[in-house]
Amino acid sequence: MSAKHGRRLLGGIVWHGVMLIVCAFVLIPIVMVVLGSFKTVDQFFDRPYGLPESFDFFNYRKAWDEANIQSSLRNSVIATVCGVFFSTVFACLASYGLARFRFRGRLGLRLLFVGGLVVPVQLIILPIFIMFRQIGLLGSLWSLIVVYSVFGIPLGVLVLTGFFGVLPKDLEDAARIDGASHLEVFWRIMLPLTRPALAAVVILNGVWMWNDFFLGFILINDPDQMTLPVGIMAFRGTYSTEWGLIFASVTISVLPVVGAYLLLSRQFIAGLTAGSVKG
Amino acid sequence: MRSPGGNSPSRAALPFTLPGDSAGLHQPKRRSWERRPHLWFILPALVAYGILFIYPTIRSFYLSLFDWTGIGPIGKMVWLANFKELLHDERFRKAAWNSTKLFAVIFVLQNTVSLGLAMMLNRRSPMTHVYRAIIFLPVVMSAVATGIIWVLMLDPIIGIVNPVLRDIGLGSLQQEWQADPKWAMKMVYLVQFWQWNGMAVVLYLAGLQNVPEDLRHAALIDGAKRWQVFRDVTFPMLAPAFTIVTALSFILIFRAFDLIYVLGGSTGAPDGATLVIGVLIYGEAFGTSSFNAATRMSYAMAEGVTLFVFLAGMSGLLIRVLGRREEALH
Repeated sequence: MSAKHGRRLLGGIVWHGVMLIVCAFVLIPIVMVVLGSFKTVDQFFDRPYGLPESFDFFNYRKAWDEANIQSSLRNSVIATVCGVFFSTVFACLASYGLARFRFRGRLGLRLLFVGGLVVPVQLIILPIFIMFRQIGLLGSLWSLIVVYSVFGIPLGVLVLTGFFGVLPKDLEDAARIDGASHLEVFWRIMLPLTRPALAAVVILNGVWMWNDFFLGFILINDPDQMTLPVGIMAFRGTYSTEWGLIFASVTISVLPVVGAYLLLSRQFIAGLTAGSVKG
Repeated sequence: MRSPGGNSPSRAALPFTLPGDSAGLHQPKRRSWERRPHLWFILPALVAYGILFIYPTIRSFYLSLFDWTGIGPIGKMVWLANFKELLHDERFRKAAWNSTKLFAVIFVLQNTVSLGLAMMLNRRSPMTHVYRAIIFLPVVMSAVATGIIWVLMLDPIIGIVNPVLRDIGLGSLQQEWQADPKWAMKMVYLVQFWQWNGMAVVLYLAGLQNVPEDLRHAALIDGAKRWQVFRDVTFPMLAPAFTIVTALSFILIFRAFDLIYVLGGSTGAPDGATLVIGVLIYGEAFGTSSFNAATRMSYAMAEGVTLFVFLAGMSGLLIRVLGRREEALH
């Protein structure tokens, strides 16, 4: 009995040991960047992996005022909120139409939407770039919002059609008999029931849009219109040796999404894996 | 919702013809709308998606047939010349090879390290959720942040890895991690895996939670070895998770841009060692630097179309083959 007990204890120690090593592998690089954001350029040479001399926010102040982080943060919030809002509205309505009505071409239409997931962004952005250049939309935050609003549709349809499809028909029929229109059924009855799936879509597209670099990089070149990832890469090019400044900006850019993740980690994990599980 | 006998011309017409097209048929048209409420729901998305997704995709196929830099008037039509050139293009081959290697390495790591971690995490402990949350954390971070974090870690001067190696007496192991062509692509594997490991762990963990404990216990009691239980019971039950993890990483890796651009720039520094398809297409379309601003928009589109056809074909195949495997195993 005691031998068995001893083996279990040993097993537990090994288990925690492996997990702690893995967590260290994940966390050490992140901690190093946060520490780096408090260092002056000289301190990077003196003690590359040591603590900074003081936790003074001078890099943050400089990034905020001089490196355009203030406006980048605002642009990122606007682009993400608008992009998530419009793409969710589009995807929600379309998914309801695709999942709750029987009509010819239904599956083909769903495939048309979901198939967007295998179109490389590198390809589709090229004709859009040309189109926006012609109509003069290129370079503004609006161009990015428009593109996010549409590019969020495929994932939204993938997740939401699966969810709308399994809601019981009785609910809908009862309301229809009471004289509710299709829109009322959708808005009053079905939509409130899909809240978990909606949360998943909002998280999925929100994290993607907040983190996206490529689309903003192609469409925006005015520093005042840049989102955080684009802005950070732009001044990494200009101030390549101002490491503290770059790391402060990186910290600011991940703080909102990591903060939300720490508060709602269960919802985030469920949301970010929802697209793949439903597919 | 469909009524029989829907053969009148107005109903056969496409749902998104303009109202002005058929003023005389106004009455029956409205009735047909009422009979097809789904159209009202689908139409807004379909119009937006049509203009900014389907049309550009078709247009990129069309423009890939031209000889055009992307600036000024569209050049002359060369039909498939871009595609023929692509077959013999050294850089395209190298980028395709690098993308394939990246996928292969990540595939192996996901089915050893990530799967192993998922199996370890599949036990009840107060710490399980904490470990899982930490392992998943890099998935929510941007590729730009991840890339810059690792540029710091690997930098030979201000970095973390080299000074630590030096200070613990392993100075001989120091490398120019990112500047040495031998190491640069390996660092891309490392960083890519660092960021996406959590996704595979969580997906496998969700799959494992569907494997009934009783089944594994029964097999163990019947005298099966642990390895046999894994091979004959656990892994077959994980077939759906395997499909998802494989298909997801396939699509993510062959479309990847952000992370690899942060690490290797638009030329796949050093010396094309980290050039992948996603970065190659960008460089071809917009120029690789201010020194080499030559753009070949149509050629880039030909590369993109090739990638698209490959991705669509392979995803279809993957899902079909793995789907059949799932059915065969159950």
